[in-house]
Amino acid sequence: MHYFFEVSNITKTFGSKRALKNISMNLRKGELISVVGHNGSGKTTLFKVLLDIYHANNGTVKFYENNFDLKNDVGYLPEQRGLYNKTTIITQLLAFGYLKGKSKKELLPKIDVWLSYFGLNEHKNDILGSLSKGNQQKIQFITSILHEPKLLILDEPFSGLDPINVDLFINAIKDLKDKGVSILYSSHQLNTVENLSDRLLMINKGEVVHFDTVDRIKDKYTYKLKIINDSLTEEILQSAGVIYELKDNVYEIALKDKQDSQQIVDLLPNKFSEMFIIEKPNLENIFKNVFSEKGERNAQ
Amino acid sequence: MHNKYTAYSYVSIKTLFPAKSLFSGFLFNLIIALIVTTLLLIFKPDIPFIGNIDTGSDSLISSLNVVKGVALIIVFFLFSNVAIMMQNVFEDRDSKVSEVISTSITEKHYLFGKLVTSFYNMLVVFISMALAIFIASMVYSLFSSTFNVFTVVLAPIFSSFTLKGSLFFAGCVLIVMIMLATSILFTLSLAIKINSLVDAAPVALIILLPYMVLFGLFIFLPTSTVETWILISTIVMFIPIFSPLFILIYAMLNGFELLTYLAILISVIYGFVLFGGVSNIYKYAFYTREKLSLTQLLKLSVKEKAR
Repeated sequence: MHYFFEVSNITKTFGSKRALKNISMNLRKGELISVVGHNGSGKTTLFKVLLDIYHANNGTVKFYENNFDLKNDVGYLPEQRGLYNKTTIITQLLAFGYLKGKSKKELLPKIDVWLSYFGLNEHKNDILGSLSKGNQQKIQFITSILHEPKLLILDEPFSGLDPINVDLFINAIKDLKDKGVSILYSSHQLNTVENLSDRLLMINKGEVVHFDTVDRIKDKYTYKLKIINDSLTEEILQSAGVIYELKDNVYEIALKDKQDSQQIVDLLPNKFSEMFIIEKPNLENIFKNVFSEKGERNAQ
Repeated sequence: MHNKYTAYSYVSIKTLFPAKSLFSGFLFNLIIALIVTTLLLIFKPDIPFIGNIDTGSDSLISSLNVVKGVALIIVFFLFSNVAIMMQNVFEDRDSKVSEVISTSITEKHYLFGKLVTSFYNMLVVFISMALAIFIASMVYSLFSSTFNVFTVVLAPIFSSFTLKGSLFFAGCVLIVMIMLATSILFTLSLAIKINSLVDAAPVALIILLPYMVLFGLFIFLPTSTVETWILISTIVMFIPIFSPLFILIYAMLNGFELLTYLAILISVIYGFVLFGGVSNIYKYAFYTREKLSLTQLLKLSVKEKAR
């Protein structure tokens, strides 16, 4: 598949502090990649290196898209609001559109469409500062997509939004992806990340922990078998050498692989189980696992 | 807008000066002018208007007095403009607008836009004040039997305009514009240094340094010593930052001759070099929150640093 851009061995330091270390990743055309990591892990720095706001100390960023102009074809939504507080919304949207080389004629119909989509049409002539935080975030989002960018970089787009507005944003992002826009975004809302992304980039302390599809990342982590069986005893589990917990008569057994559950079943005198559930690890558990020291050891 | 210089200039003006604030600014000027008019009508002080000024005094000495007046007016405009520009650059950095616009334009577009915005601001303030004073003068002439705005102010101004005089005036306006551009670029180079608005006042004083030097000279050197003034301006008009102000003095005393044109050319080159240097500063300092010393700014202006 055609790459939109490719990042190779990027390192970025600020004085003695290392923000990124040997980051390598790529984004395919029309793909949506989520970047996750706890605060200060280097997500925003990575975005800023891509946007040429920061220069990397080492490594390269290569854009493969034809006729791609970094100043005109990228939409960027920063983590903190970057708008003119004392200016009206319409002036603001036109202003950012002009900076991307668009004319008033091109911008006005799109402004109407997006303001209507977010239910802000009647606030067109209001001063930005008079809007709520969530509505300001909507305006920030519109400024980043109004010029129809080829690449969209969204840093925490859902922050400050209620669940209904998160859905509005998700649908808009899906729609843009369907139209062929390549998207890179960061979020702490792991459920959304799990459902929305084609691939996931997990960063910890400026280094790549995982870069793959959500399913493949999940496969690298232990499954959990929840079982209630009369014949199951702690001695059996200890002899099998597995890690387990007993919670309200339910044995929770860590499995390296889905198939390992068969070995447990083979050890049981009575094959009938009242409960037999194999749970796939969710992203939240993986996240907690990765970002705790214990988790870093457990990750395979 | 396909040209990013035009686009950012427009954006900068539109976001800094909403139409409403321009109107209220004019209204404020008009109210002040009308209050002064009322006081003049009540107390009737003896004011020498343009039509009544004695033009028999030594023309070179009056030229120096004109320079003094022009410098005072420029300092007034610069002082109000410096504060606005500093606050504007500070807010752009503080509100992260700088990050968003840097994904669309370069530092050169940004600086050019700010330069245009400054000129726009000064022009609007000038027009607004001139219009308010003109309206107030009309009101004054309605109630005064001895004063008529057309015969006492406008007629003498228009009658003094010949082709030679107009060209001289245009030349002086050009020098004043170079002077303002130099001061604004100097302002922008230092505006990046402030991390809070409290820092703005001492930085503003550095920007007004050439004008302070001139006022100092006016105190210690009488305007009657014309030869000394010519000698000083001949030397100082080739020194960066000070250059345009002293070209104006030289042009007022000696007229436009080869040396004046040479000094203007060098001053324009200084302007471009300054623009390049300030761009270099912004390439780095616009994106960091580092507190930079004057030495660091100077180093950044000559050598780009990776951000």
